[in-house]
Amino acid sequence: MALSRRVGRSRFTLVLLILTSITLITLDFRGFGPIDTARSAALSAFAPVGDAATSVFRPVGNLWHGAFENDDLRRENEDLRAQLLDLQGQVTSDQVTREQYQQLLTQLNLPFLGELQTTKAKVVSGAIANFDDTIEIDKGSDAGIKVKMPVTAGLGLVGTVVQVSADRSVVRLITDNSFHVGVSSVPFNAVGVASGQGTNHGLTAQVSAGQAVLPGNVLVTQGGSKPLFPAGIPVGTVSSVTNDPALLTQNLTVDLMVNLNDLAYVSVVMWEPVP
Amino acid sequence: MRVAVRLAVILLTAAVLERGLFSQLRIHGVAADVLLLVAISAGMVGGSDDGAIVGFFAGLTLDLLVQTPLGLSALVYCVTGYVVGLAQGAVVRATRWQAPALAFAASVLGVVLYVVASLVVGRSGLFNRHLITIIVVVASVNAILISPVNRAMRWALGEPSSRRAALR
Repeated sequence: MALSRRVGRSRFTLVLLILTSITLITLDFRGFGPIDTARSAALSAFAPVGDAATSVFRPVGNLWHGAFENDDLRRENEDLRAQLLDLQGQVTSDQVTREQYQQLLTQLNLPFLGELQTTKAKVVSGAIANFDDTIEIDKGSDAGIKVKMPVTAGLGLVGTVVQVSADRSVVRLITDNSFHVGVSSVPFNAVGVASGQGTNHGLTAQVSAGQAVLPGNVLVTQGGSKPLFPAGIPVGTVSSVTNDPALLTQNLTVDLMVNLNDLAYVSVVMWEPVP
Repeated sequence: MRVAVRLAVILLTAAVLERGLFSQLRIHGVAADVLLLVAISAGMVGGSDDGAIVGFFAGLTLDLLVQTPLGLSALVYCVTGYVVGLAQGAVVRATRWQAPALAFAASVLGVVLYVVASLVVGRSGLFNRHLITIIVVVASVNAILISPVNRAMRWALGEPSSRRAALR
């Protein structure tokens, strides 16, 4: 009797908690203001404790990486040396291309990323959970950062700001499953949408069949009348193209411009989408 | 009141360890899920009621720190904690391997439930090959860490007899 009463009570508790969770999910999807405020407060409040813990445990982390990723690091180092030699040769030709590209954007009345103001920020934390492709940076609204501002590293797109507190911001990476960006290819100007595929899976993009896209083409943010990103930020390089005759699309696999696992500093582009 | 404070200490410690330590110690890009472990431990030590309540707050703590929909982890961890409590109640004779085995199975359940719940709320693309790595790593690490976490949870919730006395 007592057992059945206890089971009944715990079922009631469970149902109550499930309903509360569903309510919270619904409110979050509807953009309920206090939830954003609570998240920003949690971000600010937890930042000092989190940073201290990260600093304390960094030697352990370094030891871990040294022990388990030594071979990977050596291989990566060799690859980077080879890439550096290639890139040194490309710098000169890229400068010419860059000038031509800037002239083209000017003719089309599109902003050039080089002209937009940026704010440098340090990456203080990577993703905490396994299904959350975000990073935390050490600058927030005090530095003029706002939600939806694009974030780059080097020349490539890294993500977009999704949460801001006074001295912290959270950036959703372009590999996140919920990340979508309009892209166009250089040089053929094929237009499509690139979507994140989750950690370690990079990006894929879809363009309609019939548009010319080749492996090696660079994808840049597209712009448009009400763009979510300024036009011309490099997103990645097309590594393969497959046709999907049923959907009349071409599926592109995209190699990212930036190694998202190794970010130390990023630049927040002080640009906001038109509401 | 004392139990609530102790649980808050455990949740805060787990959150700090998750952000400061375990997010750095990744195995094949996968971090341990200590807050899920706290929910599982509460179910094991305190039964289905405590499992559901602690699981809810553990999930809510994680939800506040990440950018996934608020309430999603709370929902999943609360159900996981509840199921673990039911499973623990069905155990006739505990063996040495029972706690790690249950932690492993519950972690698998927790991760799969999370992906299914994410799909329901419109977050597609989580079903991929990497999911198997996530399940194996999270479940294995949780199976290893369950003993010390259970000890901490016994401290927080108190022994069953003292809890009954407190409720009376």
